[in-house]
Amino acid sequence: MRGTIITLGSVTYAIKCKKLLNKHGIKSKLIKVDPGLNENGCTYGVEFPKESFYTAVMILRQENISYKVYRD
Amino acid sequence: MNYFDNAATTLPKPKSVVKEVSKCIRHYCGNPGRSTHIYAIKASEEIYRARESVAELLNLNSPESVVFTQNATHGLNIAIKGLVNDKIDVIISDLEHNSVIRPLSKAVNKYNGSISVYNSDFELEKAISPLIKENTRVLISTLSSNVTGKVMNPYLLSKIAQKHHLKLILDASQYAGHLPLDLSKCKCDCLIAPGHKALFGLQGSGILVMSADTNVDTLIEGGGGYDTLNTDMPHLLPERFEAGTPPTPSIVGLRCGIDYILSTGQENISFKLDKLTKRAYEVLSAINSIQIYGAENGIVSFKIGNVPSSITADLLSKNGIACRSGLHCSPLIHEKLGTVNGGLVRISFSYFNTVKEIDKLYKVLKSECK
Repeated sequence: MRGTIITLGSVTYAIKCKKLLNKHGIKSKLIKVDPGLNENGCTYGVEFPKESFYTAVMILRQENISYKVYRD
Repeated sequence: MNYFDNAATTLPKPKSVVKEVSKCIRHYCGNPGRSTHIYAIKASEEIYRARESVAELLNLNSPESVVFTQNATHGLNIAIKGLVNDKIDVIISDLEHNSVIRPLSKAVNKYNGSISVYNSDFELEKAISPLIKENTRVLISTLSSNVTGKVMNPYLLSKIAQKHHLKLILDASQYAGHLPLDLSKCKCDCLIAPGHKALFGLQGSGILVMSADTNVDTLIEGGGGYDTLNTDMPHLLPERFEAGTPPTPSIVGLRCGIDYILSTGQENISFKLDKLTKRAYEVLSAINSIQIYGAENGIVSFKIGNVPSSITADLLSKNGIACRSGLHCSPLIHEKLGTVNGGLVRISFSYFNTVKEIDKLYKVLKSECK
């Protein structure tokens, strides 16, 4: 899948995000973003289809989950 | 062997715990939160699943507020040393275990603070309020004594702490898994429980539930698998307090133990423990030379005349009954009961004990007391 990647604060939040998006029908995958591409080293992210971006962002905002867009 | 030492650690564990722990260590126990291969991802997801089970049991909105610890002592050290970091007064009950008293004493001595002890026999507001001084900042209470089984009301403790603007640390070591606990109705800063007692997990697991706005300093710092270039521990729960490789098989076991409680029904477990406690109280009361010092919440403590508790415990062990004698790491309650010399014999039940086993205990003690 070459979709949108967002990074979360921790692996716990990345898993929470993945489960939440999957629950809402957005097929998501847990990934690790390489060091050097992130300010403080490796971090965890979630990849999902580009077309689901706005729905995904709405869901995360409703649940108060902070994220950063790594690749859109 | 009839096992009556469940307040120390539960035995046996549900079959689902044994099965899943075995599966974990055989098939998927990678190092969670480090790599991205299937073993590490699966381990990470199982740990998150365990947080969700804890959240369901305690009616928490956010699984992320569940920190996994090695045991209750570890969780209590984090909470106490994280919150007692100035010249303050701390109120505790007269039922506390050394897992509270020892780290608290160290913290209080370091900052030249003080400890006030409330009498658990009194109504809570009347027991605690007179002890509050200008510099009282923290209230710590067990929710059930590991010696007498006496249960303290977490909702009242929470109200009292809020009324007097105190941080609240609750030790649920003998409460979690015995009695229902709804943390949506009980605001506390830290709630701690071991995984290996009534939650039916393995030794090496425990939970520390912390509210996100509680400002607790870290006890241990180390690697977390991400954010490597940052020399500080992460700010977010739960990873902030989970440095190093977590005990994944123990956490998986804990999740299965909690799921067992959820599927059996906490109320059903509480009902059975109550029934076993009442039966034990009934049969032991019928033996003249036995003095019972506590019988509540799955725990019954007693002694036979002036016989040292260790001698009674040895006798029971020789007759196939496992229990604990002595002071149970809880000095204050034994000082209060006058049982420091000789200690007490403690029998403690789990959902897997039976009335038949208690009747055997009665026969052995009856024969001994002739």
